[in-house]
Amino acid sequence: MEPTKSIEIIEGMLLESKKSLHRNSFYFLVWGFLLVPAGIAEYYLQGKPLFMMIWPIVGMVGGVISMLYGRKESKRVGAETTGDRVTSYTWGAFLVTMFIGIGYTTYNGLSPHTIILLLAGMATFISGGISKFTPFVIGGILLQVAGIICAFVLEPSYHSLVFSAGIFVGYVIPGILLRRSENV
Amino acid sequence: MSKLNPLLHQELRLSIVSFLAGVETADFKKLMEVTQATKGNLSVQISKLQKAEYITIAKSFKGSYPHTNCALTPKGEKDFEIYLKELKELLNI
Repeated sequence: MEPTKSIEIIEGMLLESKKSLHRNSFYFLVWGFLLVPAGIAEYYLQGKPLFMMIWPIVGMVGGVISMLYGRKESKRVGAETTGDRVTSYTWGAFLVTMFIGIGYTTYNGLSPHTIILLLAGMATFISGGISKFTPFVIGGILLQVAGIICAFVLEPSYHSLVFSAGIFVGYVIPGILLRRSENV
Repeated sequence: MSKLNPLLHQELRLSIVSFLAGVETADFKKLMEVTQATKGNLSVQISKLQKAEYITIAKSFKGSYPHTNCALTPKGEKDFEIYLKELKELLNI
């Protein structure tokens, strides 16, 4: 084999391995389209009996859909990069910390939206950096801004609306843009 | 050209090692897809790479189907880097 052919093979294979293998837009779109209406519904249903039941229902639906899709994807992709592993650890840590944060805030009578927005912003920002997809980096920053607004600017009764707006600009818009690039 | 590592200086084996150098793990199906090799040829070559301790092969079951996962070992990574260095020297790049 000619050395030039070797270089061609190496370059081709390394390029192949660097291709974005996972179709992550699905997760952002599923959660985005579940969480945005849930936040709006919470705002309008405030004070009504069992209005907070929206969240466990949305969480279960999103969780089951994500789990089934994740299983199917791992079979289809057939390879794991360091970026994939860092991304899954980041979102795993997000999930655990989010549940602790929800427990802590509700136990102390605080609104949980702030902590969820800040954590989602951090995880989205990291995902954007790893995948070199700028809309998620910007989305992560906007989620953090929404978290800051909830923490310091608006009173808790408006937090669910800020939450929906944050998820829309942080998950839905970058998710649609990523979906388009994955379909190219 | 003779000083290049003969184990890596073969089209399919070099493709496998190059792909594995860019990922953490890859399954048999994925390697077949990226290398365009036949099942038999791929099996033979990954066995040779395993024997040389360049890759590890983990066999498991996904549902009721057998699943083979391959990963580059530190030895494989090191020898691949040496091969690449020698190749660049040979081509003056």
